[in-house]
Amino acid sequence: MATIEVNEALVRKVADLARLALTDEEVRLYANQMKVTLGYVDQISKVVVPEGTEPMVTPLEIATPMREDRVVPPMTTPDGKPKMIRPAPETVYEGFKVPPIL
Amino acid sequence: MLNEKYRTISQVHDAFDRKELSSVDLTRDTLAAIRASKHNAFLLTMEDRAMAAAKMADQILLQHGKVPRDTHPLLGIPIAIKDNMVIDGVRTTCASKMLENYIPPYTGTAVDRLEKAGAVFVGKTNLDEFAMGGSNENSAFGPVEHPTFPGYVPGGSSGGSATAVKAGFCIAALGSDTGGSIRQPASYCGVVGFKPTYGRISRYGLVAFASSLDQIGPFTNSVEDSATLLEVMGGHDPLDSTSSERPKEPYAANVRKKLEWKGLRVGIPKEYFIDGVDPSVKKSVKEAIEWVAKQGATIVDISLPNTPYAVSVYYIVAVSEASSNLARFDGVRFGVRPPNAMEVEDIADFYKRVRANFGPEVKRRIILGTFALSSGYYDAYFHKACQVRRLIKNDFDRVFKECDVILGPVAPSTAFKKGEKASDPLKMYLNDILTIPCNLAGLPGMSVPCGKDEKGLPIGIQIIAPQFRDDLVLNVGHAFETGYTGGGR
Repeated sequence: MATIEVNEALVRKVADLARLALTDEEVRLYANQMKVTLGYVDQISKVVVPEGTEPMVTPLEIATPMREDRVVPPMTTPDGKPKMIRPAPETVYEGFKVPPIL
Repeated sequence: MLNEKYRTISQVHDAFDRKELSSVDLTRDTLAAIRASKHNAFLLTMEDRAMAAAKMADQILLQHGKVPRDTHPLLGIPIAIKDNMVIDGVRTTCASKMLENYIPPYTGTAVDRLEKAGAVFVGKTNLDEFAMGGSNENSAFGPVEHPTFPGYVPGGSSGGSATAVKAGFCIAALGSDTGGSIRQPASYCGVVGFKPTYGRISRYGLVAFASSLDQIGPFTNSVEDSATLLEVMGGHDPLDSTSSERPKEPYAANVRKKLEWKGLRVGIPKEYFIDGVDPSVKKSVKEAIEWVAKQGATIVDISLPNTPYAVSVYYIVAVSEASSNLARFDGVRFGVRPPNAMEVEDIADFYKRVRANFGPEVKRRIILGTFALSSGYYDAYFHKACQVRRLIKNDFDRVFKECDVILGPVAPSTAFKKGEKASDPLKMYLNDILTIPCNLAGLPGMSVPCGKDEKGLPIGIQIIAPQFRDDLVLNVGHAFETGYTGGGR
């Protein structure tokens, strides 16, 4: 891990993957801070993990509990409109309005 | 500030029974105190809803003659909710510009269960944006003041809830704890803060930060009240597949049972008393442990050797999960859409314009998480961190064969001054070293006030138990809180 060079180009690339637009000043700041943080977390590369150590992704005892596949009615407003659409910034015909992408 | 006489559920309920207080009067006074406060602990007060709930509580009181504690254990109790938990029709911001106008269409399970038990919600409390921070300085709506030390941080991320309980703006408040966000502010502010076992309380309706670590829990003025809130909120919820199907226990009745200190094996991890921990914190916690030993408990010196890696593991796992969870803020289904967002050639630009609403700490963590999950770095960072997480969990499994509970400090220091760590993210992250292991292993942990430093700032002692031994944490916490008179609390 120690060989990774954290620079502004890396921050720009990662920000693009995360769909974040950064100013030049932010890129400089985050590159410096990322260098420091990754420099610190690099310590885990030195931890000797016994062979066969399963990565722990959840503290749960049972990973995937099963349940009956049952249809439940959607949430609606008193006038019968779908409730989940209510917080949308823009709607059209009871759907989410998005910019044209084709 | 509420009347000093009414700081716990039983004090309020006894006053209701004696007809010395009504829910309407208590709620009106509470709302007035919040309005007059300068702490910035609340992002919203729920005046109409609170007064309607209070009137309903008074009607139930009238019908029954006294509080029906079995059916309404929280009747008329003013409670505040951290603003990352949704209530149908009540604005929920996560202290972010991204959700400035978000009105959720449903209510989260924990909150719903409180309301059905008779709670009166007085408002939504301030936090670090999306619960990312340890000082409450990352809120898009301004920092929260420490309840008793102006100019100091209340801790975070649930700093608004901790301040609200300490300053007397409610009897209890909900927080969420991903790496210490309940226990650390509870320690800084001098209240009880409880993070139950992962999966004990449903997370449905809690805006996700890091899904394998997040846990809802209470802030209260007594351990007994935390037990009552856990009993109300706990238990399986079909709407959260990570909520445990284990039946919940009668925590409130059990907590009042006398704890037999004799025979209790108390583990003291040497890694929790390292150089980075302030001498005043060490002294105070050690005095408390000496008292525990005098009560007849057996003190066991233990070692959790992978503790030094906890912060590194956490700041890979948590930010990775966060980068994935926060991908949902795309400006389509909810969130703020800037006026120019639709005038784009490329959908990526649309997302970028929307996601400009995130604050600096959130962006920092999304970038770090996206990096840790990205092709070429995944194995070295995320995969390795998950393996070391397993070693941390194994440490706990091993020591819990030697001891029943673990005692230690909550945070390396007491509350610090605003701005002191704001420009150094790593310094802020390292402050979580003693609370993070609990989240990584999914264990229950609690902060109970145990003393003060030389300035008078509160210090908390942390009680940790094995998974689903929330009852033991509560039992030990209650016995300590009601028995220990030292530490100048």
